[in-house]
Amino acid sequence: MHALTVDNLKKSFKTKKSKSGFSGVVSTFFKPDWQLAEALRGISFDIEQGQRVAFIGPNGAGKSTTIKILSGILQPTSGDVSVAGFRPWAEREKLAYKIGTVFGQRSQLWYHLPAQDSFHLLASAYDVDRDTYKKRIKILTESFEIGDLLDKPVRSMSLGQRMRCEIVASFIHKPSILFLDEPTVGLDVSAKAVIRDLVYESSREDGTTVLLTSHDTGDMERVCDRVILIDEGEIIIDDKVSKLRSNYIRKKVVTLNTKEENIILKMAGVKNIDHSPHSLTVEVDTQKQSVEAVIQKAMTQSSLHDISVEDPPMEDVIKAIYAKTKKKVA
Amino acid sequence: MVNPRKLYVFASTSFRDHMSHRLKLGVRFCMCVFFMFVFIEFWQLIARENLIDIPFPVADICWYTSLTQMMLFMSPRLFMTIEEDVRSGDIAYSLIRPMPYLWMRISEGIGNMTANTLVYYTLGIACVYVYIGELPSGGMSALITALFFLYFGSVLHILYQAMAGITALWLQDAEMAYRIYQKILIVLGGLYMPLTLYPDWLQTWAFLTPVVAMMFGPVQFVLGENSPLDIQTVVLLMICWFGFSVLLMGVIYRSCVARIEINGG
Repeated sequence: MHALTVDNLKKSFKTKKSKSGFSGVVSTFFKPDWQLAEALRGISFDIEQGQRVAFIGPNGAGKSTTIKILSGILQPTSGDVSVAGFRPWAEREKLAYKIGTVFGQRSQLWYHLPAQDSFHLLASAYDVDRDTYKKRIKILTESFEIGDLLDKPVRSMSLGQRMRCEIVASFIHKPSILFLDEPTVGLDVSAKAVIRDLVYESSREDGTTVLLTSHDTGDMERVCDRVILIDEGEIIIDDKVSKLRSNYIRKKVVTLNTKEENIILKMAGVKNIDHSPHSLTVEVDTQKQSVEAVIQKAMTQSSLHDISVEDPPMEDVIKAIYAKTKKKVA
Repeated sequence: MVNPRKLYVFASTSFRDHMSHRLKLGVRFCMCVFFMFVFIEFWQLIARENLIDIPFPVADICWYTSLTQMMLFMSPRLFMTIEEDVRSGDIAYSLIRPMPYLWMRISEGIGNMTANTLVYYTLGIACVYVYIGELPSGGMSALITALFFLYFGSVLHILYQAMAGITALWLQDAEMAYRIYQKILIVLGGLYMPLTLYPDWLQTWAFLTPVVAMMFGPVQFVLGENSPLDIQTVVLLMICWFGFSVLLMGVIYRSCVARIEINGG
């Protein structure tokens, strides 16, 4: 069952072109020069109920515009969208009860009041009755470990604590679809890990559909099953996260701990990326050279104490995909 | 139709929030008391020196100007909150809540104002009484009637502040619209003196605006026998202006939402 369907979605913004200099200002004042900026150029995709999808792209790619249309904030120029069976911009109020939103840089909590005052307020706004609210907040308090934060004013919370409360706030009315826009922005490594695990677990237990946008590929890897890569208003990849590495990048990082102090590997498709006494890290282009051949060559020069073979970081994978797309366009 | 229970919850949360800003509340109250004393001194001086012929007891006019000052200070600067929402883009994100944005902000404004009312209607009134030394000529009942209607007048003032704030979507800045509205309120609402002291033609103009229902209408009860409007007239004025203002706000809000839907706020 589709939780969300997007069909040939387009959005253009009309922007005023400014001219420099006094005469430019005067002429713009009397005769503004308008231009159309295309934010989305006809994207289509479906998301199944319970799926966790990452929506990734550089700044200006169209991620936020898409989320704004899907959540009902913006009206598209053309195309159709169905979210939980509703047309978001036309049935905004009905849809509001079905979706939860977390926008990393915007808070829905009252800054000077304890978090539970905001939870209570949101429960009333979403027509959650008192008994249901009590049960729900008990479950969420336990799973998000915010018991000691309930009576604490939001202003005295750390960013990580606040973000946990933000997510709880968006879960209070038990939405079937959750939109997360940069939920881990500004958080430290451990707080990011906690948030990612909590979102993943809650979504898995409740069957909540998650659409996440982030610049942090860690969010995508830890939370999502599927990734949609968008650039300049077009979808360039829509695939499983697990397949992203194997399908779109053919490189492995091999680290060798050797008995000899130095070894030299001069082979086609092998690039040295780090070198220190008794250790060598190389990047192997698996289309030109097999990892096995690299290890065999190393073993002819020295016995090996340890070997590790890793995929390159997801960030490099994404960069490589964008580079490939840019090349194709050029 | 907005659910009144939701309005209440937003207002009560805002009330609690505002009560937690004791310093802010205290400083604003002190400023209000200062201005009330300035105007009491001003009218007492006019009376002492016989500078103009005042057709009421001086205590009444002192109470009148104190209450009009109180009304201005009691109301939160809601137009600035809305302007900030427009500038930051938060207004767009508020649309996806099951509560119309403007009503949410107005409820919060009423909650904030109610917190102020508690302080101003107790400590503020006590300060004015101590300084003037007597109640208005209509007695305690005239004062209570004025304070009762002043609360609703302030709610109407909040509606117009919200409308001024939302103009930021078109003008990028709500200050201009608010300043124009504020000048109308000050002059035609009778901030510095009762409208009955105005020339007839200006009184006629004043009675064509909603500011009469906000300020002069409620506060004129402290003028006792000299109050030109009776309770029924003030109630009727308020009902009419509330009805008109809510309709006007609905039109403005729909136009605002349409603009956000296209541009994203």
